[in-house]
Amino acid sequence: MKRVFPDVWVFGYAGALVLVVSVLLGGGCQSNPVSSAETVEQRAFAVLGLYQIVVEEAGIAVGDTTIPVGTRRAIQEAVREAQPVRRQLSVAYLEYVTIRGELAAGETTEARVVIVAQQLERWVERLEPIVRGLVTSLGG
Amino acid sequence: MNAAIQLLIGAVSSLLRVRGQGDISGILDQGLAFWRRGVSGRAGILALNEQIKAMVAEGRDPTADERVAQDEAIEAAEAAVLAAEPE
Repeated sequence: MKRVFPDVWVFGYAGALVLVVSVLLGGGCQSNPVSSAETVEQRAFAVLGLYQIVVEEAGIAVGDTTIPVGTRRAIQEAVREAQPVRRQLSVAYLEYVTIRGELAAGETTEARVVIVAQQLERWVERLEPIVRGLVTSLGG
Repeated sequence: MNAAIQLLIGAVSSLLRVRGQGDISGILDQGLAFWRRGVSGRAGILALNEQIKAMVAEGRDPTADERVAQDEAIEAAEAAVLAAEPE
C-alpha cells in the first residue's frame, strides 16, 4: 500500500513545549488510553477510539480553507487508506466478541477464543501505526 | 529562551523520540502538535482514557452499547472526511 505520509516522527520544539506544559498541568503521559487498557478488547476499543478522534479532527481539517488544498487532499487520502484496516479490525473485534459469547454458552472451545484473540491483537497492531501516521500528518 | 527550559525541552523531545518508535505509547505525544489546533482532540483522548481506566477498575470489557456507539461514530467520521471536497 502506498503511504501518503512517512512514518518519520518530526517532533518540534513547539510540540515538546506543549508536552512540558501538559506534564506540569498533570495530564502528560498518563493519558494514553491504549496504555491504560489491560485486555485485548479494551486495547481494540482504545485504538478504535483514538482512530475515531483523529478522523473527527481530520474532518475539521479537511473543511478548513486556511489549510492548503494539497494538504487537505493528503489528509483525506490518508483516511481513505486507513479505512480498510479499521474495518478489518472492527470485523475481528465483532468476531472475537461473538466467539467469546459462544464459549460462555459452551458452544466452542477455549482454543478457538485464543485464535480469534490473536487475530484481533494483530489488527490492533496494524491499525496502531496507521493512527500514529495520521496524527503525525495532521501535526504537520 | 531560558537555557534551563531549552535543556528540558530537548531532553523531553529526545525521550519522546525513543518512546515513539514502534510503540503505541508514542501516539499521544506525537499528537501534541496537532492538538495545538484546538482542545477537542485532547479532551476526547482524556475522556477515552478515563473510560478505559473505568473499565479496568470495574474489571469489564466494553459493552455492546459502547461498541455500537463507537462504530457508528467512526463510520460517520470517515464518511464526513471522504465526502468532503477540499477544493
